[in-house]
Amino acid sequence: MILNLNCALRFAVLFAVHTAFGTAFLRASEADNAERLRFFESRIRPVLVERCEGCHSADAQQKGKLKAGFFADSRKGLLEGGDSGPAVVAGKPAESLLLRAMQHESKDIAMPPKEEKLPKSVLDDFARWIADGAVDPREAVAGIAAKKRGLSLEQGRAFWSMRPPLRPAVPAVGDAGWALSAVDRFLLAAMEREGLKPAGEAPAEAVLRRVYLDVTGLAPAAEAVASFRMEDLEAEVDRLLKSDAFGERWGRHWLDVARYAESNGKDRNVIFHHAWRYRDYVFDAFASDMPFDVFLREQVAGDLLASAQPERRDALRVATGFLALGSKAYEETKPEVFRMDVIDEQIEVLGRGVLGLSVACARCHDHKFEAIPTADYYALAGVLRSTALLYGYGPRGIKATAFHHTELHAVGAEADGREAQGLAYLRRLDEEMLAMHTSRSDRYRVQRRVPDAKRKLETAAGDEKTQAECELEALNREIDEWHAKVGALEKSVTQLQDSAPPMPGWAMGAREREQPEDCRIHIRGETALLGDKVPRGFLRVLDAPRVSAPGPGRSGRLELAEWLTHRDNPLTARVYVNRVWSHLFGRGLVTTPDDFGVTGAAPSHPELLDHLAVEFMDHGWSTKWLVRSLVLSRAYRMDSVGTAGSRERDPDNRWVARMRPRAADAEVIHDSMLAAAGLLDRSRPKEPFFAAFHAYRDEELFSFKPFVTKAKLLSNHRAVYLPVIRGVLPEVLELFEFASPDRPVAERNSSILPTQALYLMNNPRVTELAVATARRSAGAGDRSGGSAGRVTWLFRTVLGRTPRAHEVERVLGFVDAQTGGSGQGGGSDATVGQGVEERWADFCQMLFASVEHRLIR
Amino acid sequence: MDTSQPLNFSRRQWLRTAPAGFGYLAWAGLASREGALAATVPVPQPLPHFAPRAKRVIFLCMRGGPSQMETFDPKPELIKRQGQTGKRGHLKLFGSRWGFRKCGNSGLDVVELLPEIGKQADKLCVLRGMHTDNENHAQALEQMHTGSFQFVRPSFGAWTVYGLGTENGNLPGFISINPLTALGGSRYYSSAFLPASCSAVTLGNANQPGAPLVVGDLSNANRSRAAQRARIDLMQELNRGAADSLEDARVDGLIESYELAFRMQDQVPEVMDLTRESKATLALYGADRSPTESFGKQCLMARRFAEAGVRFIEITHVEWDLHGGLAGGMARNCAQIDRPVAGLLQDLEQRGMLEETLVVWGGEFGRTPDDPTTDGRGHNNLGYSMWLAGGGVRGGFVHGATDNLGYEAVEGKVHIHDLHATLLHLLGLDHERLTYRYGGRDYRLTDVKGNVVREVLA
Repeated sequence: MILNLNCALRFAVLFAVHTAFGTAFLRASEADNAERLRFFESRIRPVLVERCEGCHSADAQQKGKLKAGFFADSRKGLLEGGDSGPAVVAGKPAESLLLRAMQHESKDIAMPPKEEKLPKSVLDDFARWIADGAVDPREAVAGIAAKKRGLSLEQGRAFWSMRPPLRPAVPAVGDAGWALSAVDRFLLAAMEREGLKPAGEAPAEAVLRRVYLDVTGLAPAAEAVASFRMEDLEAEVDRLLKSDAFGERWGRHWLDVARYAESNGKDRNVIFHHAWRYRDYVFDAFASDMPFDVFLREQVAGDLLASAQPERRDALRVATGFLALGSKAYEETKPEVFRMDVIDEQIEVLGRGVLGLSVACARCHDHKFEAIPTADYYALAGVLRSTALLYGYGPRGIKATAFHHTELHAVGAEADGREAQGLAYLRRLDEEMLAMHTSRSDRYRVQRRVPDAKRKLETAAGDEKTQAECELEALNREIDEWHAKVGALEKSVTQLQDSAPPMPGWAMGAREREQPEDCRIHIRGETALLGDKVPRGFLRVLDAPRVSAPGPGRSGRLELAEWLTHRDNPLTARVYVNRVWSHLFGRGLVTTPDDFGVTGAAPSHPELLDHLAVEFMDHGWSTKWLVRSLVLSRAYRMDSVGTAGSRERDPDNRWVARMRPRAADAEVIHDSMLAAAGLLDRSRPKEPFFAAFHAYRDEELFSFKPFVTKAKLLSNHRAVYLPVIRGVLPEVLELFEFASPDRPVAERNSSILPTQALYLMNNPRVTELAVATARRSAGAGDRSGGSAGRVTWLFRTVLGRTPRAHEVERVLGFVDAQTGGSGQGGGSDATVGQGVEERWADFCQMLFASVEHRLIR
Repeated sequence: MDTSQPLNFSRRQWLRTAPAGFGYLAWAGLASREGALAATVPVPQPLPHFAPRAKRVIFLCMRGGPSQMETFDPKPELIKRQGQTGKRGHLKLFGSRWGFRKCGNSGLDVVELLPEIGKQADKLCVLRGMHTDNENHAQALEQMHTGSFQFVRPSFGAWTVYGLGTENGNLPGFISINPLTALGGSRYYSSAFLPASCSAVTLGNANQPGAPLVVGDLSNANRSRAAQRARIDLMQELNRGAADSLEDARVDGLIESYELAFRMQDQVPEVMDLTRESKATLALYGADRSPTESFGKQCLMARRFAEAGVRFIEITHVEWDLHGGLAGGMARNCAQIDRPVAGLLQDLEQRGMLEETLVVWGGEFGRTPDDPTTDGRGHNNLGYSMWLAGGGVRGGFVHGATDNLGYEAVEGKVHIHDLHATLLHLLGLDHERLTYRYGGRDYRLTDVKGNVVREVLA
């Protein structure tokens, strides 16, 4: 090695005068150059070859061993760096990632990996070499592909989803009579192009159930099923759009994206006592058809939008709860790590939820696929870092993590009058609880020493024994003192709790920090490895919305809200109309609803998507307009059984030549059973689930988890009002794959699980509702129909359709075993000993469990 | 349609002809997204990636962090320096009050509190250089189970089922007996973004001692088996009518899920019925007597599930967080697990199952060598011990070491990511290729880290 080096050295010196090595080098005298080159060859190159190039070289790349996209085998490679950015900044050792990695500044970038640091002399050599201009004669090996990078900004801006949607011409179609709307013409044109024919119209009853469940989440009553005619559809839709149930159904779709929850989950499942206000705000927003752009602006920057009217002001504050609802690692003891993790969670929700982009990938390195440099991530992070989140108190009594406690927004009629004293009270309570918990721990530390002292006493003799006795006595005295102190503090906390001042309403949310600040790039996402400061701003790949950068003295959240909802933002409207489409047609035109980037799917009907996006914005971002126009299309009425040709040529139904049957979600199943039983309470619960737990005492679910029993989690209100406790979802929600509140959910899973079957077959609550439904059916429906009428009423109530004659007969055979119906099940041994009403209840339960109840066809 | 061309199979045809049949699909997470259902058979990847050494995992989770210097990592130097100040200034060093024995032909060191496990020493592969990123229980447990303590990620068990499916269509692929439920416990066995069928079915609750070990809604107190069958027959007849008018793969899946549930009603209690075991077997696990009864039953049930084809079985012992009461606590815990764990290893061996069953023992971290008292130890995530046995690992073998006092791993360091990579490797899965695309990104159990610890492979 050494011998070879000498050769290399001579070779390099000969070339030195002919090669430009960088400005620092050019300025240096030739003698200096030779000296620096010699230094590189003797001290630097051997280390690079032996310790770095195994994983960071063209050779490593050929062997598939290249790590981090980083090449240490050329000057270019060092200067450009890999996934984590430039490795060497000539003249600046402190800013050179290479050196920082070699110094093991952080565990994650420590190089060489899994080894001790290289000797200090080597580190000193590298520091000196970089300070002297990082002279390096090595050229990159020709023909080796550059490291993997996302798109450049120019390439990114040219990608289909980054170009603003333009209104496309509505296409001409062969079968013009089929199309009821422009939507139909876009779909039909694609079908005709693909040689497909649309499916016929679904039975009126099926369309009615579809429209009820899609618009309101509630099934039609038996009477509505009986009297419905297709020509009534428009009037029926308009009626449904006006109901509060629309707000609950479509608000809940948004809550999936907003990862809404009423507790923190994670390591400390702290209750979010006030989260429900945000939930209700969302339901109200959809029920009143708040324009979606306004809705987004309020959630991102509501506190900055002025309103003189107190109720509006409250709603605007509550809206910002959107930013604060994320799950936080309360046990994290490093404030900076905690803070950046919280920001990351917000960027994830804004990125995937609003823009359909996985922006959060750029936290540690430039995005591998999208045109999102790390700098853009930290531009956004700066905005959120300049925003104070208000989520209240985390777990109490832990000194090391007390930094994450925050205030809350005061709302309600008494907000202004009571805010200051309320906050002061909460602060004081927290201080006293901290003191109480701390002295409990201190007492425990003393108590722990007792067994040792006792053992010593047992084994000691003579003087030692006397000493041991004294020690134990002293210990006991000390413990008594602690008992007194802890007792006093406990009493003081109780007194404080009993004398709480009148409180305003509280809400989670966000407000400006006093000192907005730009954020530094965190190399590899490490809080300990800071790079350049990035001015607050947005994603540069989306440059069409001309929104000015945030000025000094403000976080930039208002500008962020404007940028997100700007008409020229190409993503927001597209992503949203695609979500709505997917809720109604079972799958998005873009099948990756939260990924509109290069890794996402291309739209099946790009013109239709753009048509919808443009029309949606033209119609004032109205969700009701959009839902209405889609459910009144011809396409929405199609049968789910397509033509033979469409099934064979388009098995995946990409071209929407038939309706896609969908799984009924957890809420639909829950509400439908309650409604059939006549027990569904359509009102909004008067108080939040957690009202039973003292908002200023029981902050953590941990301490009263035994109270969260299955029985406690049952309610006759709609499922959307069931408590969303992270990690402890009510059974029916958990089993039927409710959206996980841990992250923004674009599409729920719909697995078919035997545990779901077991639930519907055996769960006592389901049985109870089946019994209630059977009882109700005895007096319902057309009395003249007798038992057959009862069967018909039940089919219509639970499945939304009229039974066929053979079905009625089969059911009657089952329930009326004594009279020996003609069905095979009738009169079998299995049902002997069961009363007739029990068998009616069995039939009801089987309707709940049946395939048709669990699907929307 | 020509059935000799598998790529053109409709899902329904495939379901009817596939060797694994309906049950496999229902459990193996393949019946999830409708988009994936329609056109192709959604087997995630050609799996396993290479010949597996183990077919299944039994994970003995020791919640709280067992002390390494009082189990599998003797520290004579620590005993010598008893009472001296350690590395952390004010705290005093103290050694194990229990001796170690050289066990088996391999002479593996096992604490005298675990004499029965000691007799199985030649089966154990002790990893003394374990380390992990976090010293809080909740986060370390989460990382041990999912690789991440910052984000919600699928559990190791869920990844295993995702990768390999299940061997028995009548049973879940992942079962967690006596799981932790407090402090984010459900995340330890959840499938996160993987299909829900990859998540664990749970029995009992470690945070509610005495909670019965049962599968929810498995039986119906008010309906005989025959009555249950009669009403299911009624429903299935209606369902089949729907199947004809509603051409959707989901209909078949739903119809079959009720048959599977019905079979589970019989089979799960059968597998869980320990009265079917001989007296000798119950005694082997200590399932017939105190203080081993509770954990012994869990171990025995784990073997029964393993035998029945469950892919991943986790059982939990919760009492290892001994800041105080170390002397009594270690003696109690060891007495509770010693016979059951040894019985499990012996039983697996005599049934010829040990070779293909990977047994993993350990907690979320270890303990510190120093403390203000001599009767408790603090959390130590920088160095601790776990052990593996069976399925393709070197028995009677020690890999790695902590420093001579036990503060941190210094040799043969195995990060929890490395352990995951190694366990997947033993199951025939390449941790870098076992990926799941979610939200625009391919996720792995080991994130972007992890190295297979080749030294431990038999």
